[in-house]
Amino acid sequence: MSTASKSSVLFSARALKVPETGSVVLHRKVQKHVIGAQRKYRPLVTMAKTLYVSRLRDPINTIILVGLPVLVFWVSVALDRTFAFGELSHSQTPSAIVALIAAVIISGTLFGFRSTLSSHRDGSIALIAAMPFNAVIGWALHVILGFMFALTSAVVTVIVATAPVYDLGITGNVPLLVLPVTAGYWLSYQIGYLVAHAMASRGANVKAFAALVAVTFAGFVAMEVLTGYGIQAEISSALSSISPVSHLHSLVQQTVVGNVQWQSFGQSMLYLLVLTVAVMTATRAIWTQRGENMNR
Amino acid sequence: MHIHSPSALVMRNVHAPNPDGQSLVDFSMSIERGAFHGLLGNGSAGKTLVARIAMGLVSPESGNVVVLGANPVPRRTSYLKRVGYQAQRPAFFPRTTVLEHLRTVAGVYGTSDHKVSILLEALLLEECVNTRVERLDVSERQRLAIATSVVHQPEFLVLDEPTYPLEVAARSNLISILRSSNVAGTTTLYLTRHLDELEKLCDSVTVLSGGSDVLHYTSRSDDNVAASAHVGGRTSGTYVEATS
Repeated sequence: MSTASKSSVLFSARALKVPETGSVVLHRKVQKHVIGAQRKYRPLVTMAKTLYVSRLRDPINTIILVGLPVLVFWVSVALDRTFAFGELSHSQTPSAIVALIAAVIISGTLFGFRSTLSSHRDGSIALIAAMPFNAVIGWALHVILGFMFALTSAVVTVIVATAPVYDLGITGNVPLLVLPVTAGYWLSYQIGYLVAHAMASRGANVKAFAALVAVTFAGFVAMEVLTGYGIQAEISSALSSISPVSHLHSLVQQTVVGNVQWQSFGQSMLYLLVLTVAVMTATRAIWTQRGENMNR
Repeated sequence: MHIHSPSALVMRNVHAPNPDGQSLVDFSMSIERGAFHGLLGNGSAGKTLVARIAMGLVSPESGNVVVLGANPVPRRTSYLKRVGYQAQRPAFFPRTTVLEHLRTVAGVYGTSDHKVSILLEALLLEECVNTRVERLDVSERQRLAIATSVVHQPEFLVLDEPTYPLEVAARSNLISILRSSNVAGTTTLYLTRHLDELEKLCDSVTVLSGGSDVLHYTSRSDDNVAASAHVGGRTSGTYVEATS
């Protein structure tokens, strides 16, 4: 049987496709399981797809999601070239990694912030809250949507960061690098979401958004200046005393040079998991509250 | 708890504070299943508060509320599937097209695309199926809001002043559409401040003034106008005269 035919049979069995003639009968238990799962998760997939497309049709969102991380990375590297004397070498890879992390954090935070504020403003958040999702499905929708945005941005950012044109020595395993960058973006997105949601419930406005942008960029510029004056080593030293940061840092470094130590990788993933669970718990609490307070 | 009731909505002696307008004081109302019931009142009479209580968005301080045989609070997934609510400020996915928007809502409720097509035709939205929601005019947005609230064929539907933002011609047009596309078997609570809309659409009416129900009227109870002032409620002369 050809691959296409096998897919066709599979889709028919999963009730994703209606055959032209004939009938498909599944064992009752299987049928119950398959149809039950579809009924439960299809709305989730439909909604996630619509929200993803809808948000990316906002040009400013697209710029923040895709353009900003690339721009931040490019500016970081440019500044690094300005401050660094002599030719760039592989020893400067850590600076490029810092730029990558900064790009991810800034873009993720801003995107989470802006898209959440927009959805409060246009009412789509209230529309979702009025739909017959239970708290777990609603929470899963938020998590999945954040992941879809994070993955989109991470792929673009990593491709740019590893482009040979920069000659930064980032030659490691790109798919492996996407993983921590996606996770970092996702976490930053959640932080932006939480801040925006807290502010929106108190009547957030454009000034608040501008303030966040200003503070974020001020921090970024300050970091770049400090790096330029050679304070990076001291910051790195301070950071390495914090265990999770140290592990994450070593993970990224090891990944980009293509020498992954799986023990370190596992530990870092564990820290990420703990952080993820903490943020997810917070978002779930807010989601539940939002469902109860839906007021449109 | 599910209670067997011939009425789709029963509110008895409801007291509820309203930060945005008139609070409800000892408000009572009932709607028979399948009826198109009007709730008439001026801008801050508390109509939206009644709708929000019926939808389970607000819990009254005291009194009984039963919708489709059950208490709407706390909100349950099973209850949300049975009701539809077109809010005064309706919400959309603004960057989707009309078709994408309706298909998404239909997909969430498990409604077929065929029903979406029927609805688009009934509400005269066929010409703008590929237009983004953010580019619709006010009249089209209101029709889309109504379509969004009925796409899953709810048993109980609340329309909160759907004609409020419209010009006279668009208002008249929407009334005609609502008259012709009234979904059989759906109980509708229609909130308005216009008497002529009640006359054209509704077969029973409650008048709300000063936070209380002051008049209940049904066109089906007698040959004569069956209007009775609620004891203890304040009666608005204008409404009674006009209704009579």
